[in-house]
Amino acid sequence: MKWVQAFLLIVILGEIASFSIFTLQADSLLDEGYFHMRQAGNILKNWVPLSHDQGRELIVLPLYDYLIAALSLFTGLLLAIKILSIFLMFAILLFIFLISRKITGNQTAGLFSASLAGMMSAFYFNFAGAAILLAIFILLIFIFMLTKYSTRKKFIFILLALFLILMFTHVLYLVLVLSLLVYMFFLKMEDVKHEQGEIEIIVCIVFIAAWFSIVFFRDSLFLHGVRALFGNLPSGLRSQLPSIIQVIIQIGIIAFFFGIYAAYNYLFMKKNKIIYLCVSLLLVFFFSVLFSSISPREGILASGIILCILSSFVWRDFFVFIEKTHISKFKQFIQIGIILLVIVMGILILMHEQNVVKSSLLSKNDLEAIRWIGNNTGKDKTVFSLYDEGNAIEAIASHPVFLDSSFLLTKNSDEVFNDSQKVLSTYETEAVRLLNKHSIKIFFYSQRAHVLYPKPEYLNDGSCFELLFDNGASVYQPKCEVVQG
Amino acid sequence: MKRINKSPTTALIFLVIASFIASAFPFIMSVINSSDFFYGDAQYHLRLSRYNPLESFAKADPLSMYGEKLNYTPYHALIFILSKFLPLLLSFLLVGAISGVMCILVYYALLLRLGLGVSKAFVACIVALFTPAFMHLYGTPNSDGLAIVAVLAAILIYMNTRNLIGGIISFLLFSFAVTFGFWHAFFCSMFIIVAVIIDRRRYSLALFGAYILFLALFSRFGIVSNIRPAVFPFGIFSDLGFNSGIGIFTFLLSVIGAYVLWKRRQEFWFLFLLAVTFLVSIFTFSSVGVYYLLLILGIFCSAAIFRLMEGEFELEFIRKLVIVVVLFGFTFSLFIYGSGFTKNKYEGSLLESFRWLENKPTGSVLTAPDYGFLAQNLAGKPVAYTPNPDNMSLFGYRNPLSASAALASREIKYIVIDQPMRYGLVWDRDDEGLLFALRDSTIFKKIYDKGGVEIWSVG
Repeated sequence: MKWVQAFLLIVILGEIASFSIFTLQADSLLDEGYFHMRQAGNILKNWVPLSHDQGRELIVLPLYDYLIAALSLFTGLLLAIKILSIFLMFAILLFIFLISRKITGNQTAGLFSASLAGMMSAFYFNFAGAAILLAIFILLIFIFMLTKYSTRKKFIFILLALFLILMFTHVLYLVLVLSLLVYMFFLKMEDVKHEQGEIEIIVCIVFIAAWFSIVFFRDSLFLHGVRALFGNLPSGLRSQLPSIIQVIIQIGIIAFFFGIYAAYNYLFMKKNKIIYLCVSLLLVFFFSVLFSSISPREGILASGIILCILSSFVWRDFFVFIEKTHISKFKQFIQIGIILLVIVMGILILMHEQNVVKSSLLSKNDLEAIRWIGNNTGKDKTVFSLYDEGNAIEAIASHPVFLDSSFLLTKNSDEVFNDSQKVLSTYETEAVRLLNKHSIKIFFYSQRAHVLYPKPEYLNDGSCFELLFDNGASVYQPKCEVVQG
Repeated sequence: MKRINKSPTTALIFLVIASFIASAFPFIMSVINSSDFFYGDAQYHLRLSRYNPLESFAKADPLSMYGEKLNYTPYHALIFILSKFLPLLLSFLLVGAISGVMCILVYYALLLRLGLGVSKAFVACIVALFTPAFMHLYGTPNSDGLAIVAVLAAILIYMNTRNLIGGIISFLLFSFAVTFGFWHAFFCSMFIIVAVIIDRRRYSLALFGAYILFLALFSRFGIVSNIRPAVFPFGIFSDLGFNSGIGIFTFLLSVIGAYVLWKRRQEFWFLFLLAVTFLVSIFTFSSVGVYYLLLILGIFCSAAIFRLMEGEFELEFIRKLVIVVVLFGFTFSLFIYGSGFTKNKYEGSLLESFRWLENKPTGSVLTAPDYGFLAQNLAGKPVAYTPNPDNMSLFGYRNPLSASAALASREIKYIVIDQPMRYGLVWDRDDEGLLFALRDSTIFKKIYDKGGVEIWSVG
């Protein structure tokens, strides 16, 4: 092993260690993590995930939850989620390395791609409880298998099995199906040499995915029509897209520009099949995020990983070029220089972004307040909170909530979301009317909410809002009612 | 398939039997699920089929509050006449089954005329037959089925006869289809244009001119065009709950079929043209186009099925898997369509309440749009809302005085409310909108309360 490779390996191990420490030290999970925690808890009790909740139905792709449940038999739910995330991050980096090495035929390029991916702050936005990590892991194995295409029956079985597993994990399977269709389109349009079997597998996958989607998402498609494709997200949330600067920061400046350059260079100048697949995935990820089919958090991570894989081409080609020049004897120094640059930029961004992630999580005090709600108030009382705190309240306090982030089968999601926003920004009578309208009995005002919304004036009116608990995060009981004459 | 290829007569016999089965499917499912065969729009056709044709054609609907025209068609006249000799239900079933058989036979003949082989035409017919849209068309009370038979027959006669008599008969059949509504005239025009381009004759332009003239003259009677476009993009898929749609697998197979036929686009250009026109029209003008689209998709599906079965595959296992998945998909579509009938049931107490209302003094009825046709049929009174209204503002008034004024301005005297309306169908809560206003006993009086159904009289 060359010492550049050894150095890259150490960098990757450092990245995994950093992610592990951050994940294990965090007090709270992602909002989505609490959703999976509840599902896994239900699997442990009843062997099946929760499909009915608070009078509504939930659409669950349960594989990730089953994995957590299985792991929690040894560790407990919270730790199981964290350990699984760390393992998945490691596995993703491993497959980025394997794919990049396979497509470039260059081990150092593969390690470079993996180290770029490990530096992505997007991982920290999906750190504990994000099913997308498992989905990306499966997607990478799928891509890896495609790069080794063969007509053997065993190979086809593995590809189909991977796709079936992905279908039961995350809606990313739809992204993959669309990407494969775009990929097929590229192959035909650009007349790229390909195997007939590849097209046959894609057609088969499209049919299987169509059938699965009808069975699983039928209710949602029927209820919301085309909105179901956009996750039935309220328009208020749909418009909250990250800026291009945020995207670049979360992916990493070098990974972003190297990846884009490789996509441009190979798409138009060199006809490489795997590039077409990666570009197809990037295009579909972009539009999926734009149309809210997957969240920006997930989309950025998945796109970032594809861009990291593409970056390996730039690394390989650049050093092939260097070898032909007079400065070829400095090749290893240049390599180390680039790696150091990546590390310095990555560490600076990570330090900043880790703080951003931490500030967006529920604090210790928030969690304590939620536990207090669970222990001291009636389990049937509906709790008002920010929409992305709903899953934590459901999982920890076992209380019904006014709104959480599962919008897929929520009726009038726009109205409910707008009401939730209005409650925090309106005057007392209107707030009480809205709280009455949704039969809310407990008002949870977290430390997170303190940062995001100024405290509503009406919460100081003790005659209408009785303060039940306060440790920085506050719990109120609305007591007034608006009666219309 | 080889046997069918050798003997077109066997194919015909199979098609007739299959057509009867497909047409009977909705009725059989209604019986199995103990649901109402006359549900939703069928109640409208049931009412119209009791009207005398001489007094109803191009007349205003006596039970419409807004002076809308009756959508009275030759179909209703035919049922009216048949019902003089047979029970009404049997008349509906018989007309549906016979027109279904006629439709598929004419379609089959037309496909053969267009150059498809016997087995390919047969498969196209089978795909079309077992699509929910076809079953809905000929298995439930529906006037569109007869119009489609007329259009297909007109094209077949036009293409099969070289003399002027054939031209005149096809003109008459096209004109007959126009009497079923504006959108049939529209889709009919598409077919005429294509037929005339494919098989140009000396009198083609004259035929087309005569048709346009007839259309213009007929439109003076007021052609009904009340069928809305389908909801984009899923409004044509029966798997997602739209009864008169096609299965998603029919659509996917059609896409593959279109790809396969694209290589022969010089020969089949008109299929692509019609498919695109119908698809656009369905989502922009009227969902009736889905029945016409089905006829085109049947051909595409047939091409795809033969490609799957006879084409070269590098991975034999994948071919088998795709065929199994497609079969599952078709079965699933049928299962979903069949299971939809469990919901087609009116509560006995609701039927009773509307019958009770029949003998009350005249006045319009406000009830859920879904019950609109039922209320017209049983209570014999005009209703404020029929299915798919533009708005339902009358249910939103909370102030009793405003509610009373709004109801009085539309001459509404009765409000019929049942439990599904209170919890989901119209309102979500007990004190919402008009439910709150009803608390004012000086204006609203409860005159009927039985089995969870209430009838309120207005001031």
